[in-house]
Amino acid sequence: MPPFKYLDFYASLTDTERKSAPQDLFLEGDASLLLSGLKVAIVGSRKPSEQGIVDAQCLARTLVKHGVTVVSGLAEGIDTAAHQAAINAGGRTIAVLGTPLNTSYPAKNRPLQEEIKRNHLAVSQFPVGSPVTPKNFPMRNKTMALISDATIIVEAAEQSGTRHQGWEALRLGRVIFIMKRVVEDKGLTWPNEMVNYGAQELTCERLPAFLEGIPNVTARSNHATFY
Amino acid sequence: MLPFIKCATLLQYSPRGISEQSVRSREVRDAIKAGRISDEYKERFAEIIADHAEKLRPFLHPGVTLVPMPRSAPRRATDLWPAFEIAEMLSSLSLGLVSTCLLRQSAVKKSALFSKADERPSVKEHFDSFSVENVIPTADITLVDDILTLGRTSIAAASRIAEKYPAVTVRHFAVLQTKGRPSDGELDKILNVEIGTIKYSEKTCKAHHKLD
Repeated sequence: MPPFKYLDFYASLTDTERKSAPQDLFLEGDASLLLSGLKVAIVGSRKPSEQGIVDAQCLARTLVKHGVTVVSGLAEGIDTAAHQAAINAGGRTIAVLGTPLNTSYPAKNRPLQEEIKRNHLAVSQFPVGSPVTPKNFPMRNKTMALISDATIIVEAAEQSGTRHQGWEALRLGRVIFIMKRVVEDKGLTWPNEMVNYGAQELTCERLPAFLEGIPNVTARSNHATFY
Repeated sequence: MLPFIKCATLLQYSPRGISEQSVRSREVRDAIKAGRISDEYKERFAEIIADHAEKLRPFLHPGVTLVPMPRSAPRRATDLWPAFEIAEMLSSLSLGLVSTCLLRQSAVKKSALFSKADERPSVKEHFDSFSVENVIPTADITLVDDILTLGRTSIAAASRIAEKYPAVTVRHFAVLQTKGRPSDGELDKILNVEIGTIKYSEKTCKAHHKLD
């Protein structure tokens, strides 16, 4: 496979996608994961409930079973659970980092990050040497929405940064799911707001049935020659 | 509801077929859904439409108002709108003028995620979610969509427009039709220009789509 060139990738984006696309993307690992196959992001709280961890693991295993690449942000909590479950199930995973490729946040995720760089794919829009600031993470979330065909929000507090990814996914016309029990949580307002703009309720059991209806919108096929 | 509307589609795709043709048809679907309508695709669509000009003329001509079908939920200003991208492409080929007069006031479930017909939003749910804003400039309206499956959204949208403007004629145009051989769900070809009718049954409150 030819080396990844961000300029070529950027040129293939639609005007809608370019609006929040990063200025650059740095990759370490198997670049083919970025450019082919269905990719679904599993994201959520850094301090999840036990049920949130169980859900993230179940969703990741289900996606792997159906040949889908699991995307997440390598944050504590839901992201780590999703990456680890995907790897343990023999699947493929992409980590979209809020740091440069040579930095780990949290530091305790360094071994997992190295594993992902070695055998899967780590992606960052932040050049080596650039500072890690709170602004990085909402930007990372938008990039994660861009490279994923769908996003699943497992669990997120009212002011969680995860919501940025949901809204960006809706803007891009991607499928966005929120776990049903989170939509039904009367203590939260953001889930129903997102449902009102097109987010769909999800349980782990229903995910296989929905997969057929998720278009591979990140694919770059030359379809004009097909007909 | 309107008892029927005429519909036209250019291509077809198979949701579940495993043949090379069926898999490619889904790549076409995915590109349309992503709004990937480059100049190359626009040229190809123009060729197809020209090759079938007589069949398609009632749907696509300079005097028609092209109304893009809304997404399944209310749209914010910067949200991707595949049907609008298609309508703009048609307009650039002098096949009508775009009017974004049909809006989704409330969200419905995303039909594409539900393979079973009884799980998809009903005609009434779609109808209740639509509103028509602004004046429609011509008597010929073509609803423009990316995919036609059962026709529920189409008949509901057409009925909502007809309710406000009873003198207009509403038709439906979609780039893709959901199809597959009844025996195995496979496709023989992706290019298949078809004219059909979407009919609504007052008795069952259901819509179905048939080839003319």
